[in-house]
Amino acid sequence: MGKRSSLSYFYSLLLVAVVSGLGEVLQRFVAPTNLVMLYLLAVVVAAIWWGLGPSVFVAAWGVLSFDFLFVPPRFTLAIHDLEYIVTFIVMFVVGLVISTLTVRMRQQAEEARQVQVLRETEKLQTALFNSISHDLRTPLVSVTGALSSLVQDKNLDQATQEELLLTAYEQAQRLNVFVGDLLDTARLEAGALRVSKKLEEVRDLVGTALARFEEPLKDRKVTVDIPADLPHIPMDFSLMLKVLVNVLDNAIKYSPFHLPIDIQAQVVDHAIQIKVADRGLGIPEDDLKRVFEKFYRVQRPKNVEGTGLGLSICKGIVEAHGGKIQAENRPGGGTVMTIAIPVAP
Amino acid sequence: MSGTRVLIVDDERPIRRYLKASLASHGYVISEAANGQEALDALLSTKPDVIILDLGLPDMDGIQVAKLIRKKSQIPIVVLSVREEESDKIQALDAGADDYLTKPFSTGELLARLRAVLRRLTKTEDEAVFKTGKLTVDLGKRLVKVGSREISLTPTEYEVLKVLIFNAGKVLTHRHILEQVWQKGAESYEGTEHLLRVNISNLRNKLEPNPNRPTYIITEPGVGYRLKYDD
Repeated sequence: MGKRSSLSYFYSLLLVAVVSGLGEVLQRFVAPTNLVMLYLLAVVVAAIWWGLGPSVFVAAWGVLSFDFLFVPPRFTLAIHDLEYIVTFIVMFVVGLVISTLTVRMRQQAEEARQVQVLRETEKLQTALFNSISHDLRTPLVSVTGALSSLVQDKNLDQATQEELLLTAYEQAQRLNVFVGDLLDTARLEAGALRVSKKLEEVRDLVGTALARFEEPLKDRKVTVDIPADLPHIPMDFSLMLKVLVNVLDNAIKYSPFHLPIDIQAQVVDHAIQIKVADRGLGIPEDDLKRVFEKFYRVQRPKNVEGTGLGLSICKGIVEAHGGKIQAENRPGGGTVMTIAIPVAP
Repeated sequence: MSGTRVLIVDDERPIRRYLKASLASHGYVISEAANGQEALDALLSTKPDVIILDLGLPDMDGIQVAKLIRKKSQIPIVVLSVREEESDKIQALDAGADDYLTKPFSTGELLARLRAVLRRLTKTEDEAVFKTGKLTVDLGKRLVKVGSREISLTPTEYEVLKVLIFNAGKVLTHRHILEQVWQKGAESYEGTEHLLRVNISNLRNKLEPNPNRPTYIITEPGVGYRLKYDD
């Protein structure tokens, strides 16, 4: 407000002209003193829309216009009736008071809004830190717990020892994954993600990603449909690998192990579309876009581990390639993740 | 590998401690260094067979240490680093390291890497037949077979495979393979890299039981390739 100075003064001028025009129409029916109300209205409008300066201007210019156009003798600035001087003074003072009050009111409303935004941001931040703190510490609970038992309790049998050791190992790995996700997210937020593109083969990308899941996929059916003549496309292999690993991880986690996972790639509209489809529960329609938000976790099933950051990182990486990632539900049940990367850089 | 001498270079004492315990139980003889200077001194005094070198040393850049070691010796070096950026890995490999591991890693992975880099010592160029899984390559006769089926490779494909075999189990940077096969210097590197990818793709088509999920030729993301091999 008030920044577009010269333009707002011009509008103020127009406003007074409009009011004067209106007054010209109404002056046959009402006494001039009543027209003062119209000018005061213009002062209020100017105060709300353009700020203090323009509204004072309207007050002053309004008084002059009123004098010239409606106070006898009309079309002169002279005044026959000295009462009108009082009218002018009051009009101007009222105009000033209204402008000041209106502007103050706007400022207060603005401040109240900002305070509310600040409070909401604080709430979000607290929630965020609580969530991160929980996700960082939870695996450590098992690691510390299991290892302290092993250190302090000399009477554990072999089977128990092995179980505790395995738990500690798995939870330490889970923590490492979360740390990696946090770092990736921080890098994305800071705009520090370096995308170094080279011409790469999608089949290689898919194959390397699948190799990361050798154990979990041992007894699962995975179909891979990639045409032999699919062009090599420019991409940062390591970053896109993260994306594919994340998407695959979700497909494996959120679908029953006896049902297949299908991977397909094809050229569509100057882009290569990679689709990873599972036969799991699918994602609720309202959440299909929300799954890409940070820390978003699908509510069911409840016992699935994860950081909630994976898909937001995927989105960041894919978009840094000029591509798109989206989730859809599959007819017959399950989710399809579609990653599209442009063929030309 | 009984009696093989390992020099562990890492400024973190807990890491040196657990590595010493784990490796000693596999028959390795351990010596330690906590910084670059100590490493160079230990190289001369303890005469290790292999060095495990952490890149995050307090007194010198780990890459610099690798270069200095290389000036004096062809000793195999396995580099450890907390950072997972490919450029760091490529720099270390170009500086003369033979392989790398990103921390944290499992002891099993480390043992596999140690075996792979030490194997270089016992393998000679004349060793006639290379076998891994169903793949058999008779280097003397230039004969490649998968199971009992003879495979026909182009001369370039064979050369690429040969480089992978001579470094079996170890990671090779794109640049290294390009230099070995195409004898290209750094300047003309850019254009030939795509050629390498095409050749690897063709090799996979011809050799892998399932080219969509390679078991022999493994991609090291952003770095290069590795021929999987464990004896």
